Amino acid sequence: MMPDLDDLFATAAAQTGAAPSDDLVARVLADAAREQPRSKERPAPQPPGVQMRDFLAPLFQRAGVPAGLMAAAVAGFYLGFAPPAALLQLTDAVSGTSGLESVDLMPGVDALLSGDEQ
Amino acid sequence: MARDTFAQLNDEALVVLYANGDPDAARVLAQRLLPRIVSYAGRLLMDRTEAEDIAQEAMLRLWRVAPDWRQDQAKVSTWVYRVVTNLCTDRHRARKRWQTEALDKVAEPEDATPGVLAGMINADRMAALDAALACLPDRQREAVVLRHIEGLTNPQIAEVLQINVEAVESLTARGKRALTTALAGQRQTLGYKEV
Repeated sequence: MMPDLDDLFATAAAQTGAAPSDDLVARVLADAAREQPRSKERPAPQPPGVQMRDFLAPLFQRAGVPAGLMAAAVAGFYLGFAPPAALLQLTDAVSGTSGLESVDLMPGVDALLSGDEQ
Repeated sequence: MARDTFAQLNDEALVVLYANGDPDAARVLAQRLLPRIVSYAGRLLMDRTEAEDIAQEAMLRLWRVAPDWRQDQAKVSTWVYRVVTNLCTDRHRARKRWQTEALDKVAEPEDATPGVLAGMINADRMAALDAALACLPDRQREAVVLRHIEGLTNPQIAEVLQINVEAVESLTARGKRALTTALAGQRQTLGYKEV
């Protein structure tokens, strides 16, 4: 390549870093702002107490939840005072107050399986 | 993110940051890419205003492709050069007024004041180079500018022009021969001493 051409290329290359006009930069950045995907917005963290209250509040605003709790409490009270016989056997076996080694939780099932019930 | 951290990031990482909503990534990318884009487009189009329009369009395409940018994709600079090349080719084909404008610019003396003689010679040389480049076929001009003015390697040019490296070598060699021939008669005019 002739030396002059090298010289011309070098001069041209030295001009490649020229700063773009302010107007162009402004236009490009405006495009960038318009086209930029919005960052995923995360909800601000809340104190734990507030979160628990927010979780429970809707539950207790409904009538079903207190009614269920009340029914469970009544059932437990009844079982404590007048437990069924099978439950008594189980209680004795677990607590060791009886000599039983096995507990038949479904007393009628053997007869049912053998067909003797009829 | 701190400005120092941005300076250490490559263009590809900045594109990903932009896509993730970082407001400063676009500014850093524009600072890095715009000077090269405007220079390259200006060299191909020989019109600063058009070159800036092309630069804006190329950057707009980068912003739009950013959410889908893959790290294993081409380098951002290579991708941008390819977009600019295609945009310039489209504009060149549409207007068909390159050569006459370029030659007109070389023929017109601007100012004969002695104090600006050195600057004039430099400007005349660049105008002569631009005019000679404008006479080349599109692909030769693009290859020569990318290789000898923008400083890309042959493999990078091959990626930009989407041809193989041998074709790049052939284009640049033919382009330089044509430029040498075109400029041979202007040595004295451009301030070069006869050998």
